Amino acid sequence: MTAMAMTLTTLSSWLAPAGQPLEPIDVIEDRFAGLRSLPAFGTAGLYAVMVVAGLAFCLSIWATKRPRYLDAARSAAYATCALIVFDLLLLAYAFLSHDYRLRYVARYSDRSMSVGYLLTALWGGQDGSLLWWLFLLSANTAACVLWMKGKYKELQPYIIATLMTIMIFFVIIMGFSANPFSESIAGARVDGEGLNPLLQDFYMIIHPPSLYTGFVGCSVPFAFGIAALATGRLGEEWIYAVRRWMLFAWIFLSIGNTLGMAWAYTELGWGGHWAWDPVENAAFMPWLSASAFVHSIMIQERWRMLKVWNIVLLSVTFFMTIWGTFLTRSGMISSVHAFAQSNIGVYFIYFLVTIATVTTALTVYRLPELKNVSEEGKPTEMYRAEVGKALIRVLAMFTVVLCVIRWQTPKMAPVGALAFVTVIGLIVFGANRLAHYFPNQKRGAIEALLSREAAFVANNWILLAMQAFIAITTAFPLISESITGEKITVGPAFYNAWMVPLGLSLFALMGVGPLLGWRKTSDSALRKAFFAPGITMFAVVAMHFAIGKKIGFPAIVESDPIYSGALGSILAKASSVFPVVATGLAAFNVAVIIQEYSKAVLARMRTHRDENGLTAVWALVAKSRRRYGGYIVHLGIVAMFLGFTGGAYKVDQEFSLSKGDVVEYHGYQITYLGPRRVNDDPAKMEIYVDLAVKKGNTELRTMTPARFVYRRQQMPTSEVDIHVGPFEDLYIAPGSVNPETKTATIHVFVNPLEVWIWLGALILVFGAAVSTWPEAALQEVGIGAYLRTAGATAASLVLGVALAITPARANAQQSGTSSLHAGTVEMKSPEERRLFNQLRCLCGGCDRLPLSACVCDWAKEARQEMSSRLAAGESVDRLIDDYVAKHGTDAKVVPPNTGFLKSIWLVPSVLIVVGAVSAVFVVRRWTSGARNVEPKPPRAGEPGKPLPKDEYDDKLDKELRDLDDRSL
Amino acid sequence: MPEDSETGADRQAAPVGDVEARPLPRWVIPAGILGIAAVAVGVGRLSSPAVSALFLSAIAILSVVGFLFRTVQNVAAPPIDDEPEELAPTQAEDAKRAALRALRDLEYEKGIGNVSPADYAKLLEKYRAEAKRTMRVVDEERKEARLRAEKLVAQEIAAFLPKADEPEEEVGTEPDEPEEDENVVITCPKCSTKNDADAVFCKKCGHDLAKKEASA
Repeated sequence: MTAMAMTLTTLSSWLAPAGQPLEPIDVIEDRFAGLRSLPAFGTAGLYAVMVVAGLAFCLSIWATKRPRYLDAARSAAYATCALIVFDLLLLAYAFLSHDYRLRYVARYSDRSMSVGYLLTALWGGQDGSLLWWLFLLSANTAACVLWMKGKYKELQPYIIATLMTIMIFFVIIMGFSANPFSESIAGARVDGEGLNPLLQDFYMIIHPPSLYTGFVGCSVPFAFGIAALATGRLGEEWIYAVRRWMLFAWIFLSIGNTLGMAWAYTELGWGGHWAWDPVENAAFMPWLSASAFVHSIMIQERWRMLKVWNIVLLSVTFFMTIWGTFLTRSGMISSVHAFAQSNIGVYFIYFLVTIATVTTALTVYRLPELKNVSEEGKPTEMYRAEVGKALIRVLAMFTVVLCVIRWQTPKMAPVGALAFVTVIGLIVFGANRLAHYFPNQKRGAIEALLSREAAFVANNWILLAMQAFIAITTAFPLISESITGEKITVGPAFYNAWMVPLGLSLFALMGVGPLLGWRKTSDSALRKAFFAPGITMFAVVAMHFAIGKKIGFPAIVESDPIYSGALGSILAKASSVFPVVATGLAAFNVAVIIQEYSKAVLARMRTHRDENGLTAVWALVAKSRRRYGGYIVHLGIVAMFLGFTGGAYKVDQEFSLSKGDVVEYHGYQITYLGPRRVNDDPAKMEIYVDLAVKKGNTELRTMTPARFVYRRQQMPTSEVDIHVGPFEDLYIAPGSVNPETKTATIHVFVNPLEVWIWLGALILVFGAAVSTWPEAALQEVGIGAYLRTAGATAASLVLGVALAITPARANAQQSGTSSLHAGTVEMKSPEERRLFNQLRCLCGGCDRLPLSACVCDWAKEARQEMSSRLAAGESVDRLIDDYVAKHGTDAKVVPPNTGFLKSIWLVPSVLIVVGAVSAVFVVRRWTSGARNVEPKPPRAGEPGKPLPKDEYDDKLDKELRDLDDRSL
Repeated sequence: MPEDSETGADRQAAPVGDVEARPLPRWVIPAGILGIAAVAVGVGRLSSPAVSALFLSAIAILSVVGFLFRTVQNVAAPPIDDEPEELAPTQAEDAKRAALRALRDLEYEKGIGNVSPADYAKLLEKYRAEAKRTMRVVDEERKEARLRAEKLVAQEIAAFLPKADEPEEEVGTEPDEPEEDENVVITCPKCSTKNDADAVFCKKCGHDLAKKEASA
C-alpha cells in the first residue's frame, strides 16, 4: 500500500509542469560522461532483440518435433521481451536525462517539458512509436507465454514462432530504417525542439497507446490461428483459447477509437468528432472484422461450421492492424495524421504480402480438415473439389472487380458485361454443383431461416460490407492515380453520404438478432418477440414526427446531394431520413434489450423462487456473461448512434464581438467580457476570451475559449471550451483576438446529443468487460487463482476505463507547418455551405480539409472570391466546375461520379451484393436439408413415441449438468 | 543444485540444472516486482526520474541474462521422457460438445419462451439422439486407450499382490526381495514420480527421498 501511495505521489509530481531553469552546458557534458555509449548501447539492444527473437523462433520451430525444447523456446521468448523492455527504458532514460545526442530525443522533447510529457514523447514520433508498439507486443507476448504454461503444448511452438516473426519484422524496420537511438549528425544540442503542441494533449497521451494495445492485441489471436492451421488442430480448442484475447483487443480498439474521436472533438476545433480520415478508417477497420469474429465464433462453437471463415476473419483483422500502421506510418495517403514520411512503407508491403501468402497457403493446405472431410471420407477428391471451389471464388472476385472497372471504358463494355454474367453464373452454378457432388457442408444443420445463426451470418455480412467499402474507398486515391494518373480526394462528405445506409442496416440487424432464438424460433414466439419492440418503435417514430419539430429535433433533415442526378438524390434522401430511422431503430433496440433481460429474469424467477428481481439479474449475468455482456455492448452502441443522430441537428455560426457585446444564438445568450492574458507557463502565452453564457434565465458559467502561443514553435493554437449538457453541447472555438481593439471572433457550435457518444462508449466498454470477466468460479479454482485471474482482468480494464474518463483540459491543437485553426470560417448561406463543403483547401498545409473548415488565408481568399460570384448569381455547380477545372480533380472532396471514378462505389457495392447473395446461399444450404427431410429417429421405433432409455441417457444428463455455462 | 553432486547414480537420472528443482514460493515474484518498483520510486524521489529509468533498465538487462541462461540450461538438459502429448480433441469430441451445447441452448430458449412445446419436444429428441450418438463414438474411439489403461492398472496391482502360485521362489531367504528390486518403487511424495527402491533423491524433482524413508 505504501509503495502504491508513493508511486502515485511520485507520478503526480512528475506530471506537474517542470519549468526548471536550464542547466549550464558543462553540467550537461558532465552528465553524458557516465553514459557516453548510450546510443551505441541502445542500437546494440535492437540488434540483440533481432538475434534473441531469431533464437526463440528457431527453438520453437525445433520444439515442434522435440517437445522438450519448448521450455527453452519459452525462456528465449521471455528474454526477447525483457530485451525490448530494456531498450524502451533506455530510451526513457535518454528522454529524462535530456540526451540530445539522440536525434529522436532532440526532435521530440525539450528541457521545459514535465516528466509526464517527456514520457509521452516516447511515442510522439515515428521511431519511438515503433519501439512502443514493439513494447506492447512484448507485454502481450510475455502474458501469453506465461498464460500458456502447461497448456496447449502442441500449439505453443507455433504461437511463439508467429509472435517472434512479428517482433522480428518490427525490429528490422527499426534497426535498418527508423532507429530511435541514431545520433544527430550535428552532434548534441543544448536543447531539443520540443514536442509538437498538437501532441501535448491529454487525449493524445492516451489515445495512441490504447489504440496500439488494441492493434497489438490482435497478434495473439492471430498467432493462435496460425498455430491451429499449422498443427491441424482446428476444432474449437483454439477458438476457446482465443476468445478472451480477442475481446480484450476489441475493448481497446473501441476505447482507442473513441479517444481518437474525443481528441478530434476537443482539439481540432471544427466541432466534429469523426472526419473519415484515412488513419481513422485504418483504426476502425480492424474493429469491424473483430466484431464480426466475436459473433461468428459462436456458430463454430455450436455447429462446427464457418471454420474457414473464422480463420479468414482473424487474418483479415490482423492484416488490417498492420495495414493501418502502414497507412499511418508510410504517409502514402495524406491525412491530418501525416507523420514524418519515410521509406519504411516498403517493409510493410513485404510483411503484408507475407501475411497474406502464409495464411492463404496454410488455409488451402488445411481445407480438408477445415471442412470436416475426414468424417465423410474421400479425402483426395474432396480436397480437389475444395481447392477448386476456392480458386473459382477467388478468380470470380477478381474478375468481378476487373469487369466493373473495365465497364467504365466504352470499348470494353460488351466484353465486361459478358464476363460479368459468366462469372456470376460460375459462382452460382459451378460452385454449388461441386457442393452437390461433395456434400461436405453440414446440410440441414439448422432448422429454420429465422434463427440466430442466420442473424449472425447477416451481421457478418454487414460488418464486412462496411469494412470492404471503407478499405476500397480509403485506398482508392492510390488505385486511381496508378491507373488513370488522376488525383482524387475522398472526403467526409462522401463517406457521410454512403455510410448512412450501411450503418442503419447494421443498426437494424443488431436489434433483430437477439429476438431470434438459436436453431429455431417458433412462429408464435416470433410474433410475440417482435410485438413490444415493434410497437415501441412505431410509437417513437410517430412521436418524433409529431413533436420533433417543436423541440428542435425534426424527424427529417434535408441534406445536400453529393452528386447531381438520381444517385445523388437517393443518397441525399437516405441521409435526410437518417434522424427518424435512427431514433426508431434505437427505440427498437432498447426495447429488445429490455425484453430479453426481463424474459430471462422472469424465467429464472420461476425456477428459482428464492430470488428477487435484482438477484435474478445478477445471477443471470453471472451465469452467462457473454450473452448479457453482449446486450450491454449493444446498449452502448445504441447510445452512440443517438449521439451520431444529433450530428444532423448541428448548427454553427461565427460572431465578431467587441467588449461588452451580447449575442443570442439558439437560446443561449453570450456576453463578451473581454480578453484576458495569462503568462504563467514559460512555454506559452495564453489569451482567454471570457464569455458569460446564459441559457434562458439561468446563468451557465463563464466560458473561456483561448488562444495559446507556444513560444518555442511560435505557433498559435486555439483551445475550445465546451459546455456539456445531456441534450446539447455548447462548443465555442476562438477565432482571432485583437489585443489593441479587444475585439474577438468566436465560432459557436451547438452540438445536440454529443455527450451520448461518450456515454455510449463507456457502456460499451462496461458490457465488454462483463463479457470478458473470467468464468472461473471461486469454489472451483480456489481463492488465489480466482484473485489472480480477476485481478489481471480488472487491472487491465480499470486502466483503460480510468484513462478514458479522466477529465482533462485540452492543451493545444496546432500542427507545425500549416496555419490550421488560426482563424475562423465565415459562411453566410446554405448555398455557401454546400459549396465549401464540397471543395478542398489547397493551401498545401492542411491536407484534407474542405474549404468549409480550413481557416488559412488561402481558403479565406478562395471563399471570398466565390462568395462574391455566388452573390452575383452564379450557380453552385458552375462554381464547383470552375474550381475543379482550375485546380484538378482532387480539389473536390467527393470524387466526380464519372467514367472510371464510378468504380469507387460500384466495386464495393457489387462486392456487397455478391456477399449478400453468398450469405443467403450459405444459410439456405444450412437449412435446406432440415426443411425437406424430417429428422429420422436414429433407431427404429414408433414415431411419436419416446426412444427407449439406455445407459447413455444417464451419462448425458450427467454431462449436461457438468457442462459449464461459459458456452452460452 | 547441491543435490545433483551427492551421488553418481543420481547425476545420471536427475536432469542437470533443472531450474524447477526447488520451486520458489509463490509470493517471491510479486514481492520482487513490488520491491523493484519501490526501489525505483525511491530512487526517483531521492535523485531523479532518469536515474530510476536507468535502474529499471539495469534490472531488465539482468533479467535478459537470466532468461538466456535458462534457455541454455533448458537446451543443455539431458533428454527426459517427453511428457505424453496432449491429444487434439477429436471431431467426435467436438461434435459431442456441440450437441451438449445445443441441448443447453434449447433449454434456455424454452425457458424464455422462444420455442413452442411441440418444437421443443421434436428438437429435444433430435439433439439427445445426436448427443448420445456422438458419446457412443467418443467411447468407441477411447476404447483402445481405456483397455490399455486398464491392463496397465491391472499389472501394477498384480505387482503389489503376494504371488501365491510361485512356490519355487520361496526357497530363497527373503522371498519378496528379488521382486522388490525390480518392481517395487518409491513414489516421490512431491511429484509422484516412481523412483528405484534405493533412490536417495527423486529423479524428477530432486526431492530428498532418503530423509522421508528414514522418518517413515
